[in-house]
Amino acid sequence: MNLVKSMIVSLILAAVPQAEAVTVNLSPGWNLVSPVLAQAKAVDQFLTDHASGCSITKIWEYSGGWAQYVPSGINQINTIKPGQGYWFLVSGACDVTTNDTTPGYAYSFESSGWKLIGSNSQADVSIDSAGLLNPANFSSGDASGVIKIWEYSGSSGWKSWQPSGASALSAMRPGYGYWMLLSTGGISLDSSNSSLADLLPPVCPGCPPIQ
Amino acid sequence: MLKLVLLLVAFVQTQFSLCQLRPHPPVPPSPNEFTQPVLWFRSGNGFQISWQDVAGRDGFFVSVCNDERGFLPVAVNVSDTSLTLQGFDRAGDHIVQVSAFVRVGQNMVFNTGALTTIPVTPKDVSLREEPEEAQDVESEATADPNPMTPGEVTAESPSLIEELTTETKVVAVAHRQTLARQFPMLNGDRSFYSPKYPFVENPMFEQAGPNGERIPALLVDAEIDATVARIQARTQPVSEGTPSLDTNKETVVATNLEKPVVHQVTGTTGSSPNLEEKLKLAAEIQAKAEEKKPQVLTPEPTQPKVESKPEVTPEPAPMPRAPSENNTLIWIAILVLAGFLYFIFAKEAK
Repeated sequence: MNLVKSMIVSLILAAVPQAEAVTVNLSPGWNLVSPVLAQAKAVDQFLTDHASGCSITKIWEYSGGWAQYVPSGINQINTIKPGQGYWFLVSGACDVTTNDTTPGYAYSFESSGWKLIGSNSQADVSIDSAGLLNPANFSSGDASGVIKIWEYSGSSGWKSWQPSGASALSAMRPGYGYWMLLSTGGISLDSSNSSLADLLPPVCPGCPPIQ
Repeated sequence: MLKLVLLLVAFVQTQFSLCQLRPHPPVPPSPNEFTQPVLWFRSGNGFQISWQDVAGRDGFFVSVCNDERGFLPVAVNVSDTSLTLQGFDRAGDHIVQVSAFVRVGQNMVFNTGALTTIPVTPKDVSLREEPEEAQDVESEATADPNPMTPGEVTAESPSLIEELTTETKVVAVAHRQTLARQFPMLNGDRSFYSPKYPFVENPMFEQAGPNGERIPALLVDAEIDATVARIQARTQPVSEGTPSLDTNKETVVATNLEKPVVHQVTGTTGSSPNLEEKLKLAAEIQAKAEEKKPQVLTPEPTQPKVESKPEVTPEPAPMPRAPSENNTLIWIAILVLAGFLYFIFAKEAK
């Protein structure tokens, strides 16, 4: 009986998403980050809760134009939003740590051009048809609209992914920001769109599909 | 025979990938992105292009691509939102890129830019490209109001960008190699450009130069702050409106409504105008143009030694190009190639 109980508890624990700490190590200078958050947080609150050891000089947000945050000064950003990327300028090495349970990413891009984003996931998201570019994730548009993704790290510089040919970048890491270039607008991507069938092995030929 | 076929395929591929852009991501404090396409219309023996003004810019950078050299600058610091391109050295489609930039210290930070394609006919070809060695100072004056021989200014001149302010509104495309020498490695891909360190694409961190020298991080926070403060201090707000076409001066107006041959990158601040809006805009411009009688084209007071024609011969107004015209041409080329291959293989099979 106890064995059954413990098995049930294990199954429940496995099914319920667990909050995992995500830590991004910032180097002195510019860092491209995207904190993993369940919901938007006021910048000051975010810095107190998740980056208390950081000496932030400036934060930049990009949405077609730039908005900045300077501690005890300018605040054009107001909140740190899940799935949004940011340039953090820090004067010394430090960590940004979050511990939220997140639903993953959900983007809606009306226009083409550059988007500064993050995966908002606690695990790596591969940039391929099994991960970020899974057709099931697209409620409008498709993967052909994504033509470039860049990652920046203070230690290794830029790495990029492109649809064809070899790419130095293959996955989006938790907590890091990414530049995504879209050739078209009207693209909506949501990680929660992936169906149960994506998690199960392919059905046998002639068998009814898994619903 | 197989070699011939492979050569043909390679040729077709080369022709369609000559002007491919590989843009680098924006860095702060780049100007806002364009949300409207670049427009063009015929103007005498050239093409007038015009584009949308954007917030946070110091000037505009215009480059042209029509061959394997890729995008080369034709005007580095345009203060207005229009420019006349003339003096072409060859016919064919020319892809024009306009980018807005802001000066950060001695460097330039660009937005992604917008593109258009202008169809240069053999009739528009008036200049042959100057040889690499012999520089004609007078012809440079056509391209630039501050003529200078290559020896006078090097890419390391701190005030080079400001010195090359293009007030003339008319540039000779055939002379773009001259400007390309003054701004080496400056092309449509760049989001950052340092005249002192033209090879540095990423200004965010300290790095080693080609000779092992130490190059500091070129995008310095204090200079970004100073730039932002300078831009904000401008009293005149920039209206981010529709690109204006001065129909009073011209006899013929035709807008380019198609998407460029290469990938068109537009801004993210708002949705791009849809086709209906573009058609409406084109119809309005066309209507305005038709109302006007052919007029005398008078040179701008600030124009340098540009040979102005006293009277412009009206040309038949070209129809706005169908959005898929260029794609159609590509498909026709592919079909012809496929037919040719089929013919060869069918013959071989027999």
